[in-house]
Amino acid sequence: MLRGYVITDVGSTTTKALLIGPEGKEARLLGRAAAPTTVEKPFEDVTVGVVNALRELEELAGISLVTEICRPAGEATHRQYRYLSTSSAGGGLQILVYGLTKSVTADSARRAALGGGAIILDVMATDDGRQGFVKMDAVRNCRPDMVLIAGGLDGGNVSYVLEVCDILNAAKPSPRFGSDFRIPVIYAGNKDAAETVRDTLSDHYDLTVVDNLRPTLEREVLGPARKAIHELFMSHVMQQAPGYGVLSSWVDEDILPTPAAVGRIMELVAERRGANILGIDIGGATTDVFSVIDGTFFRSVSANLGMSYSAGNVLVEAGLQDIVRWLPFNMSPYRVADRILTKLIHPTSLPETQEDLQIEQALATEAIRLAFGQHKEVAVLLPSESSFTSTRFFAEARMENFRRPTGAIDISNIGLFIGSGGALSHAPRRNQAAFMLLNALQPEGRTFLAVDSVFMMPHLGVLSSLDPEAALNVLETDCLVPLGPVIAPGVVGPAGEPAVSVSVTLRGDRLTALVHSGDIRVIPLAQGERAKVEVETLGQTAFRGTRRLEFETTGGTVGIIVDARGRPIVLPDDPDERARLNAKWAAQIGAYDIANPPGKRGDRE
Amino acid sequence: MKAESLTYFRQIPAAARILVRSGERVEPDTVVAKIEALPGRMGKVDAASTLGIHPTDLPTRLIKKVGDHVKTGDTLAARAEFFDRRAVRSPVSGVVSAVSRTLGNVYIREIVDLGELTGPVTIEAAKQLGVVPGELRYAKAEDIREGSLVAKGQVLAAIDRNLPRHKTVRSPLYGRVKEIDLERGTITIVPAFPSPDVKAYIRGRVTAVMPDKGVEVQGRGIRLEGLWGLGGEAFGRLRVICGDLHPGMDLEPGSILAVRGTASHEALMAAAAAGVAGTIMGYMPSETVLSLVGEHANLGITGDEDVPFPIVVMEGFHPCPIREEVFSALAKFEGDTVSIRGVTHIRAGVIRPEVILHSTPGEGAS
Repeated sequence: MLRGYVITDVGSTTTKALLIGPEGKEARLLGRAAAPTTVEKPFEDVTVGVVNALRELEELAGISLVTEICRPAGEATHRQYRYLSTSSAGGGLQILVYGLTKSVTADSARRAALGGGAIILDVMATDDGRQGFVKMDAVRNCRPDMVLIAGGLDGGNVSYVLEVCDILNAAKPSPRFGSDFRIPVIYAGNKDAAETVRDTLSDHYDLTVVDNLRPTLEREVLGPARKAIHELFMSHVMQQAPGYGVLSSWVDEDILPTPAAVGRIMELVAERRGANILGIDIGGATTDVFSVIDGTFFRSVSANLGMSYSAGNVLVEAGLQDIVRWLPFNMSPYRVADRILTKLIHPTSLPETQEDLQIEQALATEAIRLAFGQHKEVAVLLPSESSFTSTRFFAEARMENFRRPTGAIDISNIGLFIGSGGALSHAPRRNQAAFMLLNALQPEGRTFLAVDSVFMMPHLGVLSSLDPEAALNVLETDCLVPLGPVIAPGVVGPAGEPAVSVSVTLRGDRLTALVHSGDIRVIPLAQGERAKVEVETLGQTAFRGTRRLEFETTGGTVGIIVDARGRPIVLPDDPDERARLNAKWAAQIGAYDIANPPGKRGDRE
Repeated sequence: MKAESLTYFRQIPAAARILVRSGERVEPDTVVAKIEALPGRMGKVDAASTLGIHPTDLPTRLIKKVGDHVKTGDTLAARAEFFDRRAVRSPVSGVVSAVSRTLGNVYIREIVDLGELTGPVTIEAAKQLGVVPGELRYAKAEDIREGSLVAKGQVLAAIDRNLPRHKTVRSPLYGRVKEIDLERGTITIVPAFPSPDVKAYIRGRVTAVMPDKGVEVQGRGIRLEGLWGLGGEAFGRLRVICGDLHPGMDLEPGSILAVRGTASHEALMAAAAAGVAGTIMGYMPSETVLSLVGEHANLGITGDEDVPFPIVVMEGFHPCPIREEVFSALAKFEGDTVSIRGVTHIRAGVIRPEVILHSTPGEGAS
C-alpha cells in the first residue's frame, strides 16, 4: 500500500529530503531533513549525502526509510513510499549554446536551455563579435555537459551550421565528468542541415537530432529540445556524475534538474489559479527568476547576482548609490560598501545588527531588481505573423533587423509573486520580505505576494507529474506563506493628497481606510481569512484602465498592502530626506521597529 | 605557527621550454620554464573547391594530417590526374587543426611566437592609416573592442578596404585590447601573458617535470592565508611596517611590505613608484579598493586586474590591524625573501590569497 512520497533535492551544498503523506484526507508535509551534499571529495558519491538525509528523516518521522528506498526501484516491488529526486549538485546541468544570430535562433536556443533547467556556459552566434579562434578557445575551456545547436530557420542558412560543427570537432571540449564520456549534442536547427550535421558530429559526439526550435521567425517550438535536454541529462550526464548511476536506479521517476522541477510546479500553479505568476529565488551565488505568462513558462538565471558569493557583483552591477538609496538611515556609501565586501569575503556570515540587516536587504532589493530586468529580456513574445514577409524569402539575419520580439511581462498583469531564497524566506519578519519585493519589482494594480517558506518547490515539481493534487495541496498548506494582497495604483497625485479609499468587508463588518499619496498602508487581514475589498481612487490617482476595483481575497501574514507611492517609486536625491522617507515606509509596512515612525493613520468606520 | 610541506605545480599554458631538472634546487624567482609560443588564429582553406573535388573525397587527397606542423606555402592536399594537377597550399604557418568532411575545409591553427614583447604596446593606428584620430572610430575592425582578444597579425583597423590603396594596422602580439583612444588615435594591447617566464614561486626542490604540463616544486614554509587580495604573484625581501603606509616613506625597490594597518591609494601609488613588488596589509577600506580597480571590477574573482603590484588583505575592509600572532610571524621573517599571491576566488572551490614565509634549506621554521 502506498503511504506517501520521499523526495530529495540534491543541491550544490545541501541535500534536502521531504516526507509527504496523508494527514486526514489531504497530502501534507510530514517531515523534512537535510545533510551536506557529498558530490565532492572525499566522498565523491551523492548517495552518501542522500542516505544521511534519509536517516535524519527516519529519526524525525519514526519510520524506516533507508532500507526500502536505497535499493534499485525494480527490486522493491512493494514499496510503501515512492522515491523521487531532483538535482543541481556539481553546478547543475551546464550547456553550451549555439545559434545563427544572437537575437533570433541563439536567443530561442538560450530560452530552450534555460527552460530545460540548464546553466548556460556561453551563447555563441555568428554576430557575437568574436573571432573563430576565440570561440574555439572558449569551447575548449568551458567543459560543457551538453551542447545545444540551433541555427537557421527551416529553408535558411546551412553552411553556418556546418561551420559550427567544424569548430566543435576541432575544439573537442572535454566533459566535466568522465574522460571516456562522449558529450551529448542536441541539434535543433535547420532541418535541411540535419543529415550533414549527423555525418559531421556523430563520430565524436553523442548526437540527438530534434525538430528545429525556431522553424520560422514567428514560431518557436522549444518542447522537443527541452525534452531531449531532460532525457540526455538523465541518460548521459547524470550517469557520469559521482554516485548518480546508483541514485538513478533508486528513484521511481527520472531525476529532474532542480530548475526544471520548479518550472513544472509553477506551470501547474498558474494553470490552476488561472493567473500569470512570477517567482524569484535569490541565492548566495545566483538568482533564478521564473514566470508563467499566458501559459508559457520562462526562466532566467542571473549567475552573477546573489547575496553572498555574488554580493560584490551586485555592488558593481547596481552601483553603490542604487543600493544606498533603499536604506532607512544616512550612511557614507563607502561604509556601506565595506559591509557588503565583508559579506563577500565571509559568505556564510549572518547580519549581527539591524543596520547590517537593513544593508543586506537593500542589497537584496537591488539584486532582485536587476535579476527581474534580465528576466524581462528573456521573457519575450515572438513577432506576430505578417502578411508581407515570409521566411522563405528572407534570411534570418536580415529579418531580425526589422522584426524584433516584444516583452511578455506586463507588471500590472501578474496575479501572484512568489519570493524564495534566504533573503526573502528567512527575513526575520515577513513584512520585510514584502517590503523588498514591493521596492524591487514595483508591482502595479492588484496582485498577491507570497514567500516559499523552506524552498520545497523543486520537490513538489517532481511530485507534480506523479500526483499533482498532492503537490498542490502541500504547496498551498506547507510551502507558500501568503504575505497578502497588494493594491498599487500606477499613477498618484502629489504627496499627502488622498489617493485611494479602501473598504474591506469581513464577516459583515466593514472597515474603510483612506490612504494618501506617497504612503504605504497595511489593513489587517489574517492568513486564511476571506474578505470583500472595494477600492475607490481619489483625485489624480488611477489604475491602468480603471478607477475602481472590487474583488474577494484571502489574507496573509502582512495583511492587505496598499502601496500609494505611484510607479516608478521616486526617491529624493538628498540623502537625509531619502533616509527619512525610507524609514517612514519601513514603519508603515511594519518592516522594522523605528522609533516615532512618521506617517498618517487611516480612519476607521 | 609551524612550517609545513608545500607543493606547487607550476603549469605551462602552451608550448614552453622547461629549464630545470628533477631534483634541482630553486628559489622563488628561479625561471623554471619559458613559454615560446601560443596558439593563435584559426585559418580556413577551402581545399575541396580548390581541388575541384567533393568534400567527402578530401581525406583521400590530404598530404598533411591533423596535428602536423606546416609552414606558409606547404602543400596540404593535392590532386594529380592526367591533365589536371592542382594543389592546396597553407596560407599560414601553424598546425593542421581539423579537416571538415562536409564543407571540404582544412583548418590551420597559427602558432604565435611570443617574441620579446612583455609589456603593453600602444599602436598609433590613426597615424599609420593617415587619418585624424577620431576617424579611428570608423576605421577599427568591427570585432575590435576594449577587452577583445587579438592574435598576432590580426587586422585592428583599416581604411579603403576594397581598394588598391587600402591600408591596414595589424596587432604585433597575442593579447587583449586594453584601450582604444579616439583622442590620440591609438590602440593599446596588453600581452595575453605578461611574461614568458614561469617562475618557481617557492623555495624548494623540483620534484617532477612533465614536458607538456609543467613542473612540480616542493618546499617547506609557513603559509598564511589572507581574506581577500588583488593581482597575481610576487616575491621579494620582507619589510615590516608597524602602523599605516604613508606616501613619504623610504622604500626599497623589489621589497614586499607587510603593513600592519592600511595604505591609502596615494601611499600605494608612491610604493609602486618606488619599485615595491607587493604589499600585505591589515585592512583595505572599500574606498581604496574601488579607487584602485574601478567600480566595475569583479571583486569576487580577482587576480587579473591591472594593479601596480599584488596585494594581500589579511583582515578585511573594516579598520582592523593584522592580528598579533600573524604580525609577529611576519616580523620574524623581516629581511628574508617571501612570496605572495593576491588571487582570490569567492565561490565554490574558494581560493584565498596567501603569503609564504620560506624555511631556509635544512631548517624548519616555527
